Amino acid sequence: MSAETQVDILLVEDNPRDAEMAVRELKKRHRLVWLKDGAQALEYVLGAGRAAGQHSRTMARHHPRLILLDIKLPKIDGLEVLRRLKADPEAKTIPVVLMTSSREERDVWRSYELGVNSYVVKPVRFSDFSEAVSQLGFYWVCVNHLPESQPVS
Amino acid sequence: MLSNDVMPREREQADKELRESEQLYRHLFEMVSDAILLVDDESGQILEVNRAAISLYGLTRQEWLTMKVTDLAAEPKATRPVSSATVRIPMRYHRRKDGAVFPVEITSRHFEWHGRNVHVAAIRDVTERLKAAEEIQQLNQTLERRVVERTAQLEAANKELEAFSYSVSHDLRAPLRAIDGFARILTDDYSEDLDKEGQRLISIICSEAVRMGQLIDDLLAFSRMLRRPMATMEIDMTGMAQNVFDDCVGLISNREVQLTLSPLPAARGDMPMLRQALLNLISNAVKYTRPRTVAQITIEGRREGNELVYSVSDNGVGFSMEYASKLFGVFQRLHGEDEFEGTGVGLAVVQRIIHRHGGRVWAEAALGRGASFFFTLPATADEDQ
Repeated sequence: MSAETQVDILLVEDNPRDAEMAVRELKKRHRLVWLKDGAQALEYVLGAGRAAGQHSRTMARHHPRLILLDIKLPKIDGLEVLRRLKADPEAKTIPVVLMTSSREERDVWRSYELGVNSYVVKPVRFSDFSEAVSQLGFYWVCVNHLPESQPVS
Repeated sequence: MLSNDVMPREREQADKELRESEQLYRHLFEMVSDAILLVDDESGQILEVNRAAISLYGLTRQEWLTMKVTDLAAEPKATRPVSSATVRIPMRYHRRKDGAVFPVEITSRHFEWHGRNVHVAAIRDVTERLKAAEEIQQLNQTLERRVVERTAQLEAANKELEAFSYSVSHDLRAPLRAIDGFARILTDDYSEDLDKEGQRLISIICSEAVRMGQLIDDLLAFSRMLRRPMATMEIDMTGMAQNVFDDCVGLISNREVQLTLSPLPAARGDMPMLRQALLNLISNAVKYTRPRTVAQITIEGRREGNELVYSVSDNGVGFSMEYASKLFGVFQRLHGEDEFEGTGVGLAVVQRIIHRHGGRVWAEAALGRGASFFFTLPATADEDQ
């Protein structure tokens, strides 16, 4: 993974308004990539072709320091993205935070079952939303410590 | 043999009695609605028939007396296909003179008559009974099918409702966040282009968007109360009421709120739900006593027959009983938003919770003279109150 592809945060959000508000806050401090659906997100992290189960084509994998993931996404939904990321031996250490409007108990349960690192309900109030996004970025990118590489097994 | 001149009077009397007796039995024989046949056991020959037999089978008496009892039976295959396997009438099928086949029920009794073994058979046409039984069976089947259909419909409706509230929860919040967000960004980035009035107008957009978010949250909480499974347990209502009250007034420092809490009967119910109901009632009492220098809230409970009756009363602004019926509706409010904040879901939630417990809710109040809210819960047999 080369230095120029290293980003702090991958934001996966299909709603352009939510994305713009989040980007506005996050870009103050972090390098950021914004993708609009689950398929793009999987391709970005696991490498091209992997998401579709084809191993012939290879494209660089990207390991951001944090993935902010919405649940309701086009093509592949957030929970499925989460499941595939956590099933990947390399990508599973990337912290995934679900940022969603859903307060549904079953979504929360399913997310934790799949190994989500944090579950955040997007506040309606913009000031609360900005603060939540800002705190998430700060904690996971600047405070949280990640393993450098794969342990020798 | 008695001779004519020996005891003629007695003989005459005996003859008369015999004739009368025979006449009586002849009447009975002819009057019954069942067909009655006298049959020779050995040959099966029909020896005697009544009027009902003649009319039921359409055969004359002369025709009957030339027939054998076996001539009546119709081939089972010739009968119309009836679901008789499940209709439990022990029966056979007979044929009329015109060829029509009909179901019969036969009871018979054997005896000796003029030195021959005979039996008398009473035959009843059970067409109507069979039809009625089949109809009942069909109605039952229809009913069962309807129950299955309705259950499936209800389940589908429930699923739809769930999907609906799910998408409300997810999709309706997003545009509100954008309205609030972009209005704020406007004030942040273009503050020098906006005068005080412009900023005030934008702040209204923001606060209304946030309020609508609250409405959505409350509505979803309400619909969750419909779907949430109940876990019943014994509940110390006195402790719960005290606890809820403490939570409600804990946030208030600028006014005095007095609580009179008499010991309440324990209840059986879903703890989080009943806590929510008490919370809504008590927080209402706290809210609507705001204009009073000393707010007084009284919580009482007693057993009445097989019900536990609880009440939360206050000395607040009350309401006119004219509107009492509207109180428990969703989004129903009796006060202006600028007077008392709220979305009008609290009492609807209370009603839903209490109804799910099999209880009732009602209110008594007078404008300016406080309000009392009552709810009941079913009392369990082992409760000694």
